[in-house]
Amino acid sequence: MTSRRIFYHAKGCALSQAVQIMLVEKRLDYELHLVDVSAFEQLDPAFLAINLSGQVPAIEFDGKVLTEAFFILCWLDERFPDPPLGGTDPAARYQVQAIGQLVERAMASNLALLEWAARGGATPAAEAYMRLPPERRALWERAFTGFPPAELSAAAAGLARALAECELWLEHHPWLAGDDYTLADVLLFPLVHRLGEGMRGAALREWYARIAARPAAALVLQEPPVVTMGPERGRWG
Amino acid sequence: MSSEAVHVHTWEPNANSGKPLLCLHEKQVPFVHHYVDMGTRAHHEPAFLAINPGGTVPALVHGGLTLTESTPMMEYIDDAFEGPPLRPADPALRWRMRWILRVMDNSVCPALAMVASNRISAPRFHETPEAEKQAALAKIPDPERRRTWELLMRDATPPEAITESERRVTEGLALLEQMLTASPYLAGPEFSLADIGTMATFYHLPVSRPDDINGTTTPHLWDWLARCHARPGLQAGFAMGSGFFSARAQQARDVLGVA
Repeated sequence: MTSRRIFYHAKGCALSQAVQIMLVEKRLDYELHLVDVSAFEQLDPAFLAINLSGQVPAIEFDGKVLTEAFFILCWLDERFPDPPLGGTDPAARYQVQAIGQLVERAMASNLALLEWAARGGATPAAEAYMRLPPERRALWERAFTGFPPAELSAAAAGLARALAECELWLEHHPWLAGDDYTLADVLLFPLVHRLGEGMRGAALREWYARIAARPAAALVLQEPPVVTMGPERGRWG
Repeated sequence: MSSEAVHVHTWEPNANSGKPLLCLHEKQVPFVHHYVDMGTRAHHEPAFLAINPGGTVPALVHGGLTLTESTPMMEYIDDAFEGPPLRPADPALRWRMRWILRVMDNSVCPALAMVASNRISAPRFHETPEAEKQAALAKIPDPERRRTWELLMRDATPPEAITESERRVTEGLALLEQMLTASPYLAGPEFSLADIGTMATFYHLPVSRPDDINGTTTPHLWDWLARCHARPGLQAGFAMGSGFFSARAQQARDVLGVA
């Protein structure tokens, strides 16, 4: 039992795709359990038993269930150090952690809201999302009633600022953590993949093309993006 | 590089500002401290913006690097310097450490900050002239933080948002009690950054929430508070406060019976 390696993946979901890339980069075999978020399978009791917040990705390795995309990437890198993707010195490793925060707080969260406003729509049965913990339930309820314009413009501005920060960094460094390709690049790539060309600066486009050429990115490029709720936006500065 | 001087810019040893101070003392790394008075909003003034254009404390400067995110900053301190390890060696326990820190950073601490700042800071702005508020807001670089300060200065935080924050703080405290039933520290058998980050925000529980947090209602959290407060490193960090905060840490130790 403990030797099973399961990856709970939602096709077309950026944070889940980041874990998918990492598993390929680390040359790990796993059992793929697909979760269809367009049919709200992440709200089924069977999946909530894996992650009670109803979010992909999740992995079950060594008999333990791990959730939260960025922390799964960190864990995979520490548990399977070859090839090393965590940054080669303390400065690079700090940068990896800081990008992890930026992606979750300012990118995945904001992009999910904007995508939902533009293309969302399918509504699960109320009893399905009533199974979620209060903060996730509240987020879904706000999605169904429609996010207020002020929140959407704040989300757009927050995403644009975070992208500008990445663009500026990549004008001076080949990769998000500095000289080497790391799990920070793995984390951000599937999100940038979803953005319109106009939202990618020149440095980000060039960085994107380098990762898109890696064999590990092939699966992401094949999956059409699916719209769902991401992490919660910050509530208080 | 680790031989170069560390410069740390913080407010009091409280919440995010407390993280690097407590962490550096636990790691036994010498550093130069620069006090940034959030009470006068010095973190929005040009002198500090020259160090961190984002206008947030803490900031840590080491060699050519300026670090501005408090939780990654703690990982950096543990990573870059000699001293007692502050992260578990086991990757699964590290995952747990980061998971707890994220719950604190993304949900519990912002909720506590909302409740506390609305109780303490919002009333202070009632008499502040409008022009003065506008001038203060104009200095804040980050639009989302500017919006938070605006709500505070106008005492306009929706009551339901404050109620939700109180729920999150209560839920966060219940989570800590539950996690501490399984192990003496938050990320397992050893003291780690998860404990430092949580102590920076919750060191005052014995005096601030005596009805909810005590040896009978939350015995595991209570014992953890005593274990952490007994640590010389944390005590040295809390002693860096300018008055109220150090006194509050001392009061907490007195209530816990920690020397």
